[in-house]
Amino acid sequence: MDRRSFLSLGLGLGLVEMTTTSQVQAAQIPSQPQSRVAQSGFLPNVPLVTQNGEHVNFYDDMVRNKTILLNFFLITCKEGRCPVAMANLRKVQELLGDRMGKDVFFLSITLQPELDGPKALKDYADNLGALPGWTFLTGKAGDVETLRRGLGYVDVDPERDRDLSNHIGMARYGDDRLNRWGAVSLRSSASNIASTFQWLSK
Amino acid sequence: MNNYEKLILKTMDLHREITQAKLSRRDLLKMGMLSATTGMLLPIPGLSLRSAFAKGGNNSVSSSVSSSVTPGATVGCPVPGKDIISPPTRPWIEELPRLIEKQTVKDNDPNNISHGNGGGAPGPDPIGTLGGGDCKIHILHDHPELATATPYANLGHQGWGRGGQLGDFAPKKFYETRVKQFNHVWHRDLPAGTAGQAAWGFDSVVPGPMFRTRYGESHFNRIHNDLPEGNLGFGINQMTTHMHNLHTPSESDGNPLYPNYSGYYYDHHYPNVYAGVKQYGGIGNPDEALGTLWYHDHKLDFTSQNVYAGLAGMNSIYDAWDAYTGDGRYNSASNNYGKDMGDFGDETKGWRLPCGDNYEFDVGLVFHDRQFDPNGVDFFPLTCFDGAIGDKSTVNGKIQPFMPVKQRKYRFRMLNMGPSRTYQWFLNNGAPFIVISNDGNLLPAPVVTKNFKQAVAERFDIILDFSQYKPGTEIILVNRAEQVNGRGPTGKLLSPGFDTLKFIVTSDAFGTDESRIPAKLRPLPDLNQPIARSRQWKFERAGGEWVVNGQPFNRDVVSAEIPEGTAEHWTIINGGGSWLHPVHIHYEEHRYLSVNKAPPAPTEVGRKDVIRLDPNMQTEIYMRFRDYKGIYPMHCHNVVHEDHAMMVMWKIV
Repeated sequence: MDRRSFLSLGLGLGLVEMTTTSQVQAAQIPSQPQSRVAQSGFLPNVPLVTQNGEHVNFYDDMVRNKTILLNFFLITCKEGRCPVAMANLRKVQELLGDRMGKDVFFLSITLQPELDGPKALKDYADNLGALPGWTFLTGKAGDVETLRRGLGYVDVDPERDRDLSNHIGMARYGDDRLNRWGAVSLRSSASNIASTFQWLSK
Repeated sequence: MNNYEKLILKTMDLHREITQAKLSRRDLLKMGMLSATTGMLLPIPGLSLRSAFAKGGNNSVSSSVSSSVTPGATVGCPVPGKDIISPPTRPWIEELPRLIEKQTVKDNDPNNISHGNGGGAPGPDPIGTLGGGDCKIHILHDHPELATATPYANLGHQGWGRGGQLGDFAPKKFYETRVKQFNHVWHRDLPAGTAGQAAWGFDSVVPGPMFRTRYGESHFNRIHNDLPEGNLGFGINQMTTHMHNLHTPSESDGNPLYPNYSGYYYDHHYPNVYAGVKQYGGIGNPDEALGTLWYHDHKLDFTSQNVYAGLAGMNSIYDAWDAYTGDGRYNSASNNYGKDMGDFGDETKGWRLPCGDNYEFDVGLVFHDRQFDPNGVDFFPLTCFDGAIGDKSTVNGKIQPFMPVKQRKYRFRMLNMGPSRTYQWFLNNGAPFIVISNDGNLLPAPVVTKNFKQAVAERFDIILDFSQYKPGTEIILVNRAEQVNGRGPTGKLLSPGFDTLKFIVTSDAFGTDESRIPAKLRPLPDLNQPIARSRQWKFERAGGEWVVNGQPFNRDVVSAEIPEGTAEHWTIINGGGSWLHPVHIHYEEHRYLSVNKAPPAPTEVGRKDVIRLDPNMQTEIYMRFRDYKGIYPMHCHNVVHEDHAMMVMWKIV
C-alpha cells in the first residue's frame, strides 16, 4: 500500500472521527523536534526557577541540544556524602576549563524547593564558587518531584525514598543531540567525573 | 475471537499499515493520529494499543493518556504489564534461529584480514590513568606500522610475541568481526512487521555468531566498530568486547576502560590455554577447562544499554574430552594438543556428549528479556537505577519461538543475557533437566533436577533426551520466577509461568544417537594451594548509587593488588535491601567454600564466574590468580547496577 492510498483508505475506514478530537487542534508540529529520549518521557519539561530568578522549562531551556551533567542536592545537608558531591563538582568545572558553560553545563536541582528559593540558591552558588554554566534550580514542590521521579532518583523502599540524602550520590550526564545518557558517581573523584566528557560526544 | 481480541488485532493491523505505507511523523500529526508532545499514537478507540488495553479489561491500564509511561507513576522504573505493555505477539510463530556459526577469514589467512574502512586505524589510547602500557591498542598506537603488518608477529601481547612459556601462543585461527546497526525482527506480529527495527550486532545479527574454538588453538579476532553516531534512543557507539570468562590477558579481556571508537578496530588475541600454564607447563591444567563462554560489550557506564541493543554472542571452547575425538593428551614433541584431537562432533569419543555433525545437537540458547513500548518500539528504561525488566522473553532474538527437535539427545547451552531478570526454569511436562555444567564449566558429575535458577550472565549446559517422546509431542520451557522490578525474583513461583520456548518433537531422521550421559565428567582441581590473603567485598545500595565496600566505581582506583600465582579467600556479602546481585569476577573462576555457611548446591560445586548473590547472602570463595598480569574488574552483572557504579578494578601484579 502506498502513502496516498493509505491516506484515502484511512478516511474510508471511519478514522474520520479521530480528526474531530481536540488533540488535532492541539497538535502542532514543533519547529525543532525533541530528542528521542525527551519524547520517551525521560526528561520531563517541568517549569523551574534558576538562582537568578529566571523562569525556565527543564527540557526546552536547560537540556535541549546540550551536553549536561545534572544532580539533586540539599543546601541543608552539610555532612557526609553531601558536601563531597558538590565539592567534587566544583573541581570538575575547573578541570573542564573553557568547555564549562560553552559545551558542558551543570544543573543542580534542590530536593527542598520549599526551603531553597532563588536567593538561597544564589548565595549557595556564590559560596561554592560556581562558574558560569552551572545553574541551580528550584520550583514548585510537585514539579521538582515529577522531575526527580522522571529521572529515576527513586528508591523502591518508601522509607529510604523519604530520606532525601539517598538521592544525592549519582549524577546523570547526557548529550541530548546524540541521545547518550549515562550516570557517574559524584563521590568518586573530580578526575573520574571529568573524564566522562572526554569521550561522551566522540 | 472476542471483541477485545479483535480490537487488538485491528490495532496491530493499523500499526503494520502505517509502517508499510511509510507514513511520516508529519503525516500522522496531520491526521491527528500522533501526539505532538509525546510522539506516541493517540488514544483513539481502535488505534492506540494503550486505549485498546484500557478498554480491554484483563490487562487494563488505568490511564488513557498516550505516553509510553503513566504520569505520576515511577517514570524512571515503569513496571512491565502495568505501566508499560508491549503489543501482543502470538507464541510459537517464530522458529528458533540457530546461532550463526562463525567462520574464519578466507582460507584462515591473516593476509585476508582487512584494515578497517578504507584503511581505518587502530583505536587511540585508552582514556584514564589505568590504561597503562599493557593494552594492545596502546602498542599499536606507538607503532602504527604494526597495524598493517601481517601476521602481526611483533605485538606486545602477553600471550603472543613475547616468547617464553606464556608468550609463545601465536594465533592459529583468524577471525574478523564487524559491529553494525541493522534491522532485526523480534517477532513478525510487532507493528514493524517483517521489516523489523534497528538493532546493533556483531556481524549484524543478534545475538552475535557462535564461535567454536579449541584449547591449544589460539585465535585472533579483529573487531571493527562500524556503529553509527546516532543510537537507538539508548546506547553509545563506543565499545569494548569482553570475553566472559576466558583465561586471557587483560589486554584482550575487554576491560570497560579500553574503548574502541566507531571507525576504529580493536585486535583481540586469545591464547586458549587452561589456567596453570606456569604450574603445569604446556597449555596448563586440563581440569581447568572452560566450555560455554559468551562475549558482550562492556563499555563503561553503557554496558546495559549496548548489550540491550544486541551486542552479545556466544563462544564454545572444546578440548579432547568434550565432544572431541582423540585421546587429547598433550604431545610435548609437537607442542600441540589440537593435532591429536581430530574433528569436532564424533560422539563415540571422549565423554560422548551430544554434538553431531555441524554441531546440530550442540545448541546455544540466548535468553534476553525485552520490553517494547505500546507502538512496538524497543524500550529501555534509561533513567531507572534498579534494573531493566521486560514483558517479552526472547530466545536467540525471537519472542517465544518454537524449535523442531529430533528423537534423540541434545546439549543446550543456556545463557541469560540479561539485563536484569533471574529465571527459574521448569519443563511443562514435569520432566527433569540433566545439568552438566554451570557457568560453562563441566561439573564432576551430571545433576538431575526438575528446576534451576539462572541469574544474569550465568550459563547452564543441559542435556534433554527427546527419544522418549512420540513425534508431535510438544514440550515447553517455562520460567516460573515472578519478578516485577530490578530487585530480583519476589520468591513467588508463578503458575503457569511464562512460556519461553517450545520444543516440537519430529520424526526426522538423525542416524544413530551415539551420545551418552556419562556418570562422571571433568574432575575438580584441588584447592591445596595455601591462601595468601583474605578480602571482603560487600555489595549494596547507598546514597542512591550502587557501591562495593561503600565505594562507587572510580576509574582512578585499583581496589586490590594481587601477586600473580597466589590464592586468596574472598568473602562476598550482600549488603541488604532484598536485592539480588549476580556478581561477576573476571579472569579465573572461583569455587564456593560455603554459601550462607552451608555447602554449595550440587549444581554449584564446580568452577563458577558468577555468584548469584541472593538477598542477605554471604559466600566464601576460593580464588586463584595465575599466569597473566593486568587489571580486571569485579562487578554486579545486573548490568544496570554495574553502570551505576557497582564495580571495582583489581590488578594482578
